[in-house]
Amino acid sequence: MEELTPEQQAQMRQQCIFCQIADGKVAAKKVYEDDKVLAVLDINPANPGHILLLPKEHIAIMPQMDDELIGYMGIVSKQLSQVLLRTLQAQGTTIFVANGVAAGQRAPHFMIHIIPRMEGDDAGLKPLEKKYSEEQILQIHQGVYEAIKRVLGDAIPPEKQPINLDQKETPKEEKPGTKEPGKKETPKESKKKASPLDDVSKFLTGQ
Amino acid sequence: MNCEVCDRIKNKKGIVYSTEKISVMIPENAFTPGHLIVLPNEHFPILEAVPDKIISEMFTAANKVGVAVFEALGAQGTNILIQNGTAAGQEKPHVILHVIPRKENDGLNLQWAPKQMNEEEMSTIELKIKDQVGSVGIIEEEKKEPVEEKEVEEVKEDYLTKSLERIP
Ligand SMILES: [Zn+2]
Ligand SMILES: [Zn+2]
Repeated sequence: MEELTPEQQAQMRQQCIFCQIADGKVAAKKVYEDDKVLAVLDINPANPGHILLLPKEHIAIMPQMDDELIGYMGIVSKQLSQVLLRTLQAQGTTIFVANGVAAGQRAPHFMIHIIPRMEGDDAGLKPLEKKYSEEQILQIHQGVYEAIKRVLGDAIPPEKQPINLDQKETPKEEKPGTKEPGKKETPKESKKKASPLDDVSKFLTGQ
Repeated sequence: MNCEVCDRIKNKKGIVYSTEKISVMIPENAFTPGHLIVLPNEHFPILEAVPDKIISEMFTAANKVGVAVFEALGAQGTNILIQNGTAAGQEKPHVILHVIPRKENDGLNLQWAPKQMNEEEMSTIELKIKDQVGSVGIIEEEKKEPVEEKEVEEVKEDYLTKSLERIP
């Protein structure tokens, strides 16, 4: 990712409401803060007690986060979820992230929503019913496998290679000549090279 | 223990990636094409029961899965979703983190209608939560003796599941 000049960084922080909150220049109901993250109450809550957990650094989308920070934010999300169960007698919590406008992201600063839930509340987040057949899903996933292996591969110690499920999931394709006519070919691996994350982020947040 | 998610992990059904602690898997019911789930290999019924080390690994993996679906599917966004407890829509008694690729007008709506709260209500909740965040941000030491670990985890789990609706 291209390094921003200190001037550009300062400008970015001035234009971002959540950076302004982190810097104490805009008031918010802060419920937790340390040197890396900040948790505030959402002013438009899905339910009372809806928390937004953000990195203090200006980070637009999740893929720009390093492993340590996203892992830490996962841990803090769990801990805040536990606090909501205990203090507000919530019966459950929804942990939610929207990366990109298409996913519902509204501000160009990464955040994790932690929403207290009660049985029968109207906090929504009910996904659609299944629209795709298992076959369709498996075909789509063939392309994803390769990318997963490429992106996650580094994280696996040599003795723990990823499990190649291609054969297990599509036994039909093992035998030549048994392919049904007209059946869609496995989608080829995307030719597109990974775009630099800053471009992705600009695209996703419309910035 | 009777958990179909544990069974799937044991039978390696639909797994696209796994480490000692976590697996990335194709869900039985995909919300959108390319939808994958990240889950602990060990059985934990709710998020609060999952040790910090494993949570951290789940989120790191979710981030990478997100990068992979951007790349492979040309997704325009992703949602990360954990439905923690039946009140939040959790269907299986095993913690699951969803990574859902998104495109404009894909028909999925994960938004909520905001609730109106006045200043006083907000402040009351702010204070209640602030009062209880003393142990937030402290990461658990990795426990060395597996026997002890089991006991500690069970106690913690019992206490926490009480506050949640029982998951069938
Ligand atoms: Zn910001
Ligand atoms: Zn299980």
